[in-house]
Amino acid sequence: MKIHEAPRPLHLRVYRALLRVYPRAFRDEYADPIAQLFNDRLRDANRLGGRRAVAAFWAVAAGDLVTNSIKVRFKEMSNVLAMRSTLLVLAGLVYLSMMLVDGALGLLLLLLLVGLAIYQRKTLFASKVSFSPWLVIAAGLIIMTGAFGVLVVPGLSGDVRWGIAPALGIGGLLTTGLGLGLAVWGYASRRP
Amino acid sequence: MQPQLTPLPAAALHILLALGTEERHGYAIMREVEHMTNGATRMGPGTLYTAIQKLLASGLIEESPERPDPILDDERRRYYRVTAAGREVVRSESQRLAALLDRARSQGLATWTRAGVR
Repeated sequence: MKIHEAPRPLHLRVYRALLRVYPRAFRDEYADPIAQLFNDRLRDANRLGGRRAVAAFWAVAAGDLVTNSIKVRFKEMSNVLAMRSTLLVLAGLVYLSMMLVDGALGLLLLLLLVGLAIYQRKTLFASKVSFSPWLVIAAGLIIMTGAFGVLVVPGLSGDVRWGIAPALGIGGLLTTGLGLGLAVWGYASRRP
Repeated sequence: MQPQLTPLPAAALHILLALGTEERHGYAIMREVEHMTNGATRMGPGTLYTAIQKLLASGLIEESPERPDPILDDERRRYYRVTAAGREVVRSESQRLAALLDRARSQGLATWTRAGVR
């Protein structure tokens, strides 16, 4: 008996295109077997129930694609985001303590930050995570907003230390620039 | 060392049971899961491979170099088999479920029939 019946290239092409909803790391590893499994199941549906079965199978496959890709993305995001958020908060503390409080404390926090970044370098610089630049850009914009706040809200500045606002502004600008750079780099290094 | 993986997610337990003592590829696993649950459990392709990814990462299954399915063989197909740790987890999970079932039966909440549990 010939098991491999006529392939259904259009269905498979569409499904393969839809697999882009998964994160790249997962796609690189599992897109081929998932597409192959889809093709096998589609062949079964077509053989057993014709068009209606194929339509029903598509509904199941599409639902699976949506729910499962959300789960996979959320899992990936929570892992990386947790680490990057920690580092971002720590970086903010370093920055503020150097500007406002005490250089020695800032230096200590900076060492802690660098150590943590080196220890978690694989997660931190995982190029397969595509959303991270937006987090950096958001952080930069928040810092710049902080600079604006220090300048315009008297309650925040107290005895105004004018050095803080420009420093925050420049830091925010640099962070935003870094985020934009990462976004451009991520886009440029994306596989066709 | 016993991994802290119990209670297993239903999909993971189904896959481990579908593999049993054999090497199977994704399609064969999916068909076996449907067969052993009388069609009640149908996993989508993405769900199946996400569960497989977790089981591989946990060391409960592994890729197998054996290619025992001559009908659907294709060099791109990946075959999987249960590891010793996977068998141990299935054993402990089965004991846990059996204890729960005993409890339910002792309270008159479940009875065995030929078709399964009511």
